[in-house]
Amino acid sequence: MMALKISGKVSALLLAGVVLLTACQSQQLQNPTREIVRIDFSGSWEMDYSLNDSIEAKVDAYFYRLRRQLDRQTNGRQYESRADIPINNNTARTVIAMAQFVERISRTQVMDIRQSFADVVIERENTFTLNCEFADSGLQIRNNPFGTEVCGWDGHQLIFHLKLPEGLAVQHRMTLSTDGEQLNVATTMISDRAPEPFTLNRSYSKFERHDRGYQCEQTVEKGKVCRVLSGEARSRPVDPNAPSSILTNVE
Amino acid sequence: MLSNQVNELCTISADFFKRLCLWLCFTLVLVGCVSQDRPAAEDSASSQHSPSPYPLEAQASSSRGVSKLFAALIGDDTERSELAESAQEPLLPRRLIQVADITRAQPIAMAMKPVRPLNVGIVAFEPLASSLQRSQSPLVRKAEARYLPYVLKQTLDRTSRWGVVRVMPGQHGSAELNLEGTLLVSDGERLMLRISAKDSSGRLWLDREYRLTVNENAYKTLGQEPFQALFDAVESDLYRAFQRLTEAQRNQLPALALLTYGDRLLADVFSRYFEANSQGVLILQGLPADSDPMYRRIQQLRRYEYFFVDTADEQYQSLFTEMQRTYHHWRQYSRELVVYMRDYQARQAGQASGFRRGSLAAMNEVYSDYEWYRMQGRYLTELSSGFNNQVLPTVLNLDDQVVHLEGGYEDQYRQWQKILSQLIVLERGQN
Repeated sequence: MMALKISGKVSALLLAGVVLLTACQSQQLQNPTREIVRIDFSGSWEMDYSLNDSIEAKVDAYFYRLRRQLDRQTNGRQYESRADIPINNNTARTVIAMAQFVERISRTQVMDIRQSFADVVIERENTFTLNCEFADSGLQIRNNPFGTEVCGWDGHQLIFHLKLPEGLAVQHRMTLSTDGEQLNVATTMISDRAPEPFTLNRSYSKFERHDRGYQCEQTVEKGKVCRVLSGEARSRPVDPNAPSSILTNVE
Repeated sequence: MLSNQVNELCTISADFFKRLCLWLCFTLVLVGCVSQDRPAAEDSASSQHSPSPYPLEAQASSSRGVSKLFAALIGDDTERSELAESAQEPLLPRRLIQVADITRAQPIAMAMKPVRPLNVGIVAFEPLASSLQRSQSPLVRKAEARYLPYVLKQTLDRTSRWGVVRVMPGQHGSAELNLEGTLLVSDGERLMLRISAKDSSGRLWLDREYRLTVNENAYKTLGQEPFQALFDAVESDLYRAFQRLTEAQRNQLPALALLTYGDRLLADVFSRYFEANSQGVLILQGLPADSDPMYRRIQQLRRYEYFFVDTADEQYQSLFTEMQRTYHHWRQYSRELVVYMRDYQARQAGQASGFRRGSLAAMNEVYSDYEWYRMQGRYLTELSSGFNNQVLPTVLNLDDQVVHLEGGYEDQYRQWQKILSQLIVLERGQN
């Protein structure tokens, strides 16, 4: 009886997970219609390896779907797959490349997120910072010579979508757990040479950064210059005129 | 009490009539000078050109001196007609000057040094016109709009062909030559400035755009301005324009600078000494006597004004010194970013990527470019913050000083105008 209950719970969790992942993959960036809920992502986050996706399992699952599509193609049911992308050896190589690529770009172990009602800045270790200014409605779009960056809210999820040359796009979809202690980053790679996107989930746990006892300041000539904070400076209360804390769920 | 007031009134009235008589004599002398034959006037113009830094003050002390000086100043009718024709367009034609050589311009030949160099006022440049560049590091942009005029000032100073060169936070009307600039492009690789120069007669010397592109060699020597050749070209053009003026036209400029300065304070007192020709260029019609109290007051007020101007100038010098090294690094880095982006765009246009589309190498290349760009943007932002950390207090202090100074100017102007107007009203009322 107990085993049945556990089995039932596990099944329900698995089902929920599958539904969630499927939802993550299938959601389109354009015109998010869900009501915006400005969740507070701020804080320091470190990767929780125990909750990460297994890259091998994801690749296996991807190829399993491909095989099924291939079977449908051979049965004359091509309309169920993207007819413009034939599944062949090159497709397989592209999928492997996508998996390797997603694995590489989602290796960030530590993130520091600063967020206000108007914007969010996500500093990621060893790569560029993601930042987004929240528009009153819709998404923020920024063009630069190397691509287009679109960001904004999709319901309670925060999305960063990079449209790159050569038919590539990378999307980060961030979701906060209900207790606010876990953060999921679903990184999706889209290629015009692959029949469907490839998504890898990375999980992060919140942690508190300790007072380092020094303060650093960027200078041009000397680079980063740090100075030890005196006891008085360290115990100094927060400036009362500083911007107020984040507004969440303002609706 | 009443008798004292009456005595005072009588004294002032006597003083006024005395001055009126002097003025009538002066006018008669001037009319006489104008009617003299032209060669004589030209001779007197050349012979009376004094190497003294204050030829007007030195020579206006006697009526004979005044007459000869005025003859020299106004020149003959031929000169005036030439001046009228040339005033429609700048002395140097409008065009884009592309400074090709990044090596410094040739040292200035001292042999051509004018006898009486003109004082120059450089107004702080207008910041970048491009909203895109303006949005990037606005504090850097603000600071460089103050830094670059100082480079121009130093360039002018080095040549010894100009008098006192001052950098001003705002329009400075009392200089004999006023320069204004607008920063069009500044990305470390390219500098494009629009410079206009107008002398105290309102004659437009030049209104040109200057552009210079530099390579990495320009940044090899810290402390050497990478775009020095551009500023040398501006100076060279200014001097060419200066050489196109006749001697009589040049000689009018110091007097016109002072009189127009006075005219701004007291419109109806000094306006009779000059008039605008059909092209809007002011022609000197006469000079007040050196003993004219109003003339003396104006001179004194201008000395006060120069005191404030020089205070502002010290602030600019301080800013220049402090941000020179930092700005050098910032521009060097900015240039590298610009060059990389251009190379990238060229690669994209030529489809230089030799990797199979959809391959890991192709993905890595595309993403790495994007990542590089975003990381560079972050470094540049950090560099900007570092720049701000180093120059912000100065800029803010400068702002404070400038505001204070401008406020001081305005206050002083208002006070001076009020004082002078009261004096004028008093004198007129007594008359």
